[in-house]
Amino acid sequence: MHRFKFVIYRPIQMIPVLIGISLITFILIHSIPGDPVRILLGPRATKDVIKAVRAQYGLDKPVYIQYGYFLKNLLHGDMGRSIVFKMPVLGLILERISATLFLVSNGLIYALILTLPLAIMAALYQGRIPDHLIRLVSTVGLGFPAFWLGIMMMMVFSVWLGKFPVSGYGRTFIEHLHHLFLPSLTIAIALSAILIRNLRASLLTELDSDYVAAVRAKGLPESWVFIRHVIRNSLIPTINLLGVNLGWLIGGTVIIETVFSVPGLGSLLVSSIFARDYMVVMAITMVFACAIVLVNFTVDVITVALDPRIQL
Amino acid sequence: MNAKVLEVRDLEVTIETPAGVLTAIDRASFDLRKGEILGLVGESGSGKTLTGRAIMRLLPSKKMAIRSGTIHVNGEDITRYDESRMRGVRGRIIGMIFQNPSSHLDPVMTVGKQIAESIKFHEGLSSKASLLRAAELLRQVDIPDPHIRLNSFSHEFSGGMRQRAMIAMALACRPKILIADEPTTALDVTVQAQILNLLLDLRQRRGLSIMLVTHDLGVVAQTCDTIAVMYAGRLVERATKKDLLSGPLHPYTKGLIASQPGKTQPRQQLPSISGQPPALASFPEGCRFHPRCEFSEAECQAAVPALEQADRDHYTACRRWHSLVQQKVLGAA
Amino acid sequence: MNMTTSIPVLRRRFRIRFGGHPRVLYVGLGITIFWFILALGADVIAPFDPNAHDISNVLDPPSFTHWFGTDNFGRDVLSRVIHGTRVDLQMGLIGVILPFLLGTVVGAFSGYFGRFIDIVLMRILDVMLSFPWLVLLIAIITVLRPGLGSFYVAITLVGWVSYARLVRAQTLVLKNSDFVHAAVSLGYGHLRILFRHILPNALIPSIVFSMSDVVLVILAGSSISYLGLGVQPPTAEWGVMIAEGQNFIVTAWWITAFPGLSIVLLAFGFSLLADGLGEKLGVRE
Repeated sequence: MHRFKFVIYRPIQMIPVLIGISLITFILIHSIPGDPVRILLGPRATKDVIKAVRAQYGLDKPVYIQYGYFLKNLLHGDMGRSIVFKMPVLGLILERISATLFLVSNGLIYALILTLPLAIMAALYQGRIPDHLIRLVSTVGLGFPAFWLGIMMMMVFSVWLGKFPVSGYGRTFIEHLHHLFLPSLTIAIALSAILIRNLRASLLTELDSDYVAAVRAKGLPESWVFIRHVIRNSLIPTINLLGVNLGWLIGGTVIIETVFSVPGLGSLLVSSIFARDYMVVMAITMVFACAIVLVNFTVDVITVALDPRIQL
Repeated sequence: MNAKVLEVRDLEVTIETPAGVLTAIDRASFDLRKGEILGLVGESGSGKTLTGRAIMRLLPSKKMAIRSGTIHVNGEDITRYDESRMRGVRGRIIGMIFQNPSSHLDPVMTVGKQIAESIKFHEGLSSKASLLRAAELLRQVDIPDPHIRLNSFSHEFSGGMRQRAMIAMALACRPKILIADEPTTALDVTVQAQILNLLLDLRQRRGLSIMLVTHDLGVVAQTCDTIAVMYAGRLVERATKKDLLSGPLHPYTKGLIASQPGKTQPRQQLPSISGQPPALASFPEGCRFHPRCEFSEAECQAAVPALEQADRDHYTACRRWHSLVQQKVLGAA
Repeated sequence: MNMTTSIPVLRRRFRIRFGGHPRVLYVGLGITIFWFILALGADVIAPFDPNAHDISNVLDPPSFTHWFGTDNFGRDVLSRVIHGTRVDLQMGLIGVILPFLLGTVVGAFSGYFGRFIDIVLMRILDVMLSFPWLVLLIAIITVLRPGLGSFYVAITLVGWVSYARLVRAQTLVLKNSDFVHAAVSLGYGHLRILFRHILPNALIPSIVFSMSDVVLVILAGSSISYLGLGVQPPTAEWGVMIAEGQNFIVTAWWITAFPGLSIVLLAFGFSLLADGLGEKLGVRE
């Protein structure tokens, strides 16, 4: 149990990173050319409102004090206001986050469903046709731009075959699954391309190792060897890789949500850029970054749970 | 004389290489009797480890195969067994322990479970029952607090303890034969002695027959009853320990014994056998040792020497053994 | 008596390699060179002017005159794809070279001189690695105003991190090697040791990585352009073309299909190059 001590220490260690994230976000906001007031409020704003905002964000004070205001507002849950939607950014984010979460988790699940059997098959048939085919397909898959894949899938399944809706999110859980099937599948395919190669390599390494030889010498069948020893040992590096790629995955949702018009944070990010709704852009960026810090933490916990050798 | 539990006759193991099909083990023949410890001695590359693996039918590479020969275990030739029958042999009739216990234990599974799993599989016991047996096994290999140690992982054990755990694992389903492949090579000298004593003890208590593969004559001298010496894939001499060590009948064996530290006087150079063992693809004609042998003559290159019986229970593959004994070069000093 | 087939492998100590996969390297090289030729000779190879409108031939399916069909302005898709090669290839190369240079310098200094610089660098790395790559790119481009130039700045600011990490790790290891100690004892200055002795060896993993990085950059660049934040229309770039063609997906699938396939094929070429080079130089993922 003492291996899990880091669960207590890590949040404290995460704080500097989180501060760093807020700092970079602040620098980005500060770098936007133009009058900060206009950036926050848009072109139309009354004098009183301008005055209030100046005070709230300390806009006439030196930069580092402004950062202080920024942090203070942040901790109070104030991430600014959306010019387009005329509401606090935090509220806007909370509204749209569920679609993104659904998309990401769905994508992950489909990715696992794709990766595990294919990687296992490639490892078991190593050097033979199934292996070569799977490796070829996953190498080609690495080069598929997610947005193009999404469009092609939309074309085939929504337009030509009419099986899935082209866009949107639906209202009920079932509708969510239906609407998000294609976008999740797109994410899954892109993610699998990377994971399959890695898991396959991992499996092959483990199959070749000394302890597996010792298990065989005990007269245990290959299926036993595989299920009870090889898989668990192989998953450890792959889960690590998954954690690393989760950042990529989150970035990918931006594209996929745009392609499929899913009302999540990603599409909001893009539309806000064109609408010059800067606070929204920065807030979403920050939210994504914090999400990744959390995900990395979770991956570390899982890794420690799986691998008794690790001491973090 | 005890019954033979393992009879290896004319075992040939081949390996496919870019240079063609080569013979890695060339007609090896030896026996293991009940309750006996047989030492299979040789340098690396002599084929001794491969022999052990061939007996388990677990050759390291798909390019290797048993081309001919028989391996009789309790009267039946296991070279004819298919894979599923062979699995009934492994672990239940023949157990095996390996050289590097650290890499031969699953790092993410508890030691207890690893010992218990063969019991669970072969004997169909429940998890709980098999773990209890595992604890008992740990106790038998002198690991303290066995019930607590069941839940430990291999990285929490010392090197010696890991090897003990491996022995427990190999003996879990009560095999009558144990193949020990360099069990002490990776261990400290003090721990080596403990493990060897453990093996002797287990032989006594369980009537185990052990085939001990090693390059270390010192290990062999401590523990074995019979010794078989291998060189370049061939068995060159076979005898009881006493006969072999006091009166070797093969120049290679003689050289091995002489190069053991301990027999040399201080400040004298350690005698060694000149040259290197030949590579697989370039085995010499006739007797494979003749290029390095100080007593070789033309006849040594001419034909492959077979194992001849020189005395009761003493076999040698040196064609000149008789004349060399007369010259007092070989044989008892 | 066949005893070879059903025996499981105990330990593959004697695995014989068939010389790795040189085929992989050559195929990758071949594909990549193909694209380079296309890019360099675009003006000559392309049958039509990529920007020439032809209202009488709008949305034509692939035919003998227009192998890849025409788009909504009557522009020849094949010619646009060929010219697009220039832009995408350029994006891939510049988008890798700039981060490579920046990252190498920072990583080398950090690894070699260590201590304070190193601690600061590692903190920055941690923070930057927490940002989703693409999102940070987008955020930076937002600040700088959309365009290809902004893309280059953004990718440099984001991409240097990977190279810094790789070079730093190698430098740390090489710092303590014998030939460096020898150089130090000969009285060579730090910079000389760093650049003439350590760096050439430290760069190998980075070079292998850069091949697969080209793939990532091309994908990122086309994604950004697809979103409208990178290369701007009417310039022929594959991401832009896909965006333009998305509206006509029902009637004219070719406008989106061919640029996309081009991305896949270009990426595939570089991926094979990365794999092949990696195996040759003994570097693993």
